[in-house]
Amino acid sequence: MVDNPYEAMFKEGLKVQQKLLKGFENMLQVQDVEAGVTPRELVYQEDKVRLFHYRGDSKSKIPVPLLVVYALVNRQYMMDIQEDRSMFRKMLANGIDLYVVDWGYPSKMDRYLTMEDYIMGYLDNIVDFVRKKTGLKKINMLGVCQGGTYTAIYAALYPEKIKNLVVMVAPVDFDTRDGLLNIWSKSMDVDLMVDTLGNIPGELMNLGFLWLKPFQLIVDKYVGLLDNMENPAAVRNFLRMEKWIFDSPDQAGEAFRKFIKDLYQENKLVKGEFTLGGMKVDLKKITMPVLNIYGEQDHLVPPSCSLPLSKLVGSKDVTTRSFPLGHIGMYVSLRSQEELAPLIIKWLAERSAPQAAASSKPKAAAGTRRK
Amino acid sequence: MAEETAGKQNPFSLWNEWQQSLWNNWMDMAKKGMESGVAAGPGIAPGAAWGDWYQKWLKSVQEAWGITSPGDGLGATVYNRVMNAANVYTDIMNFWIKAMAPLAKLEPGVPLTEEKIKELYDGWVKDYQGVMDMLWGQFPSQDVQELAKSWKSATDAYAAYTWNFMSPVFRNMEAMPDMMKRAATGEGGAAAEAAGLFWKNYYDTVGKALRAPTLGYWREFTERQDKAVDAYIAFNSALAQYYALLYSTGSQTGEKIFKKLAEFKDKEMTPQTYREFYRIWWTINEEAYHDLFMSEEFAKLFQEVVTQGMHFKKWSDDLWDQYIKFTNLPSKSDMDEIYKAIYDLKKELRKQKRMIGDIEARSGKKAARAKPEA
Repeated sequence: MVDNPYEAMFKEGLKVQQKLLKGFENMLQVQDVEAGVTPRELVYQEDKVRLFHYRGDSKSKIPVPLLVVYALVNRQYMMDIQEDRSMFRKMLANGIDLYVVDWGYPSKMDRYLTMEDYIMGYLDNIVDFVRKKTGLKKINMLGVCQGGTYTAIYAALYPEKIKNLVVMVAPVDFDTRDGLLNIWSKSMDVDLMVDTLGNIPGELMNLGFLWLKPFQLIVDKYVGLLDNMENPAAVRNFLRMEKWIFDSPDQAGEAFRKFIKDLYQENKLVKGEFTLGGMKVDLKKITMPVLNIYGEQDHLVPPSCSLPLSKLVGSKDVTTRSFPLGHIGMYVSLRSQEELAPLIIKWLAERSAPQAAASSKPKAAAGTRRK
Repeated sequence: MAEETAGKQNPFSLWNEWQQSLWNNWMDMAKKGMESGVAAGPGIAPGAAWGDWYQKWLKSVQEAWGITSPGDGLGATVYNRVMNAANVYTDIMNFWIKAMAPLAKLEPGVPLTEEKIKELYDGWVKDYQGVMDMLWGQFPSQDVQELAKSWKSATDAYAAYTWNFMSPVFRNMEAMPDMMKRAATGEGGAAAEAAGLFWKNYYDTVGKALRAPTLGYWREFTERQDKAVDAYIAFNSALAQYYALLYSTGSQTGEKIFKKLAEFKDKEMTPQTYREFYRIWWTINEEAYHDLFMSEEFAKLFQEVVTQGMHFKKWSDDLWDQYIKFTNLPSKSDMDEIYKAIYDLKKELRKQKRMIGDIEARSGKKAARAKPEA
């Protein structure tokens, strides 16, 4: 208890003002914030979808390449946001041969792209490309968030192409009241939205995400910045996150329609009723080893959404791990660097023994071609 | 000369006295008018003193000129008609003053029912017809007087139509005092309901007109325009209800914060810095809004805002398409057709490529590529 609370408050106000002034000075020094710090090479492109091969200094120790499939709602460079918080760098340093999908920024011309186009088209072509490039029949896949859902669906359709499957904070069971997104999307008239808007604007998605925790994300985040504004490095880190948070691509209309209707509203995937390209998606066909990682404090994809995958797959080698982190913390926190990335690396290394090379011409597997 | 002058009054003195008399009357009138305008209250209609202002002013001018009675004859008749012609304005002003007077007489706190409003409305219509009678009745021409009588009967029909159009508003507004009372006691949904009354009033009155079919050459365009306006109002109405709910939650949160501070005070743990107070403020707000967002009520309102927003966007886009039709620019629907065609063509192309690849793979050789002659 201070003797004179008014004096304390006055001094606090002065201190904050000094921090602000210093902080403004630091912000004016920042010309541009770079995000996505690890060198990479564009190796494949189809329409707006690109595949990057990340280069590290270490030689690849794990013989099976890893294909990272991020969500469509945000940009993948979150996992490579800065040098000391880059899962990609960590993986490369530990000998993983890393490929990352960049879904791009859908334009109005892409409004008719469907989930089938994304999963059975772009993603399948990318997997085949990596298989051909590396000469391997099967590759490892890591799906993150919505990318995890897509990857799980892909693995159920094309299990013969996947060696090991890792899913991180991936929603699979959408019938829960633990998350606001799940509650709000239940009553969403997605047909009206897509018929009216075409693509769902990234700005609208951002607004929805901000509204999940309005005071924390619209007020407290910036108040927290005040504490670190005098530190130029901290300001740059904050600005990188800020860039990523608001760098949201539009969502291709038809793909969004199916994702919301079939998954969020009708929960068809866990019910075994989800179809894609005329083919039923049966999670029991995921027979390769699965590592399912979820965040215990994830407000976007609550544990009740991602945990059920472990019991729904047909694999006999399922590892489930949780971390006391939120959705974003899973990629950028210190814990993700010190514990999560090593877990994935170790898990993959144990299951990526050298395998027989694939033929130079990938054979069309019967019954798995899309119409 | 001096005796003659003394009996006849100096013109300058006369003019001065007249100016002074005019000024005094004017100031007196203005003072009384302001007093009545400012002091309007129960039983006192605002602006009542202005009603007979013209007559008083005219009288004071006549007195100043020494004209007590204009007399008989053509000159006098013309004079009277000229001077009294301005009465029409004061008569209209008196009509409005009289029309507003019943409102001033209303007891504070007594709800205004639809029946009471109808009573006032009927009174106004009758007074209005009386004014019209007075105006037109003075006209010498018989034809015009007959016309005035026809107009009077037409106003009855117009008045009845206007009442039917507006009565839903008065009926709906009867619920307003109760809603305001509930909102004031912190009932979250009540504020949103009160904001929703605007929509209800609009929907039952102007909204009907906008949703009704249109006629004529511009029928299609006008209907689209009306629907866009209707959608705009619906969207704003939903938004108002949405914000009302957020606002009422904010008010309740304010009370919680003060209660929390009081608890801290009892335990001698009051926040010592802005940061401590801020932490209390945002955590309580975050909790309160999270609870609100989890509720069915919010989900419904949120959905309503999104739906109405989409309807507005849809009709607005449609309207823009109509505007653009008159130019040589492609419209949204034109572009959507193009995008669909491109998408279908790309899909077909990929399918064909895959089929060719499969055939080549099965046949075991690549198709011969045409090479340019060396």
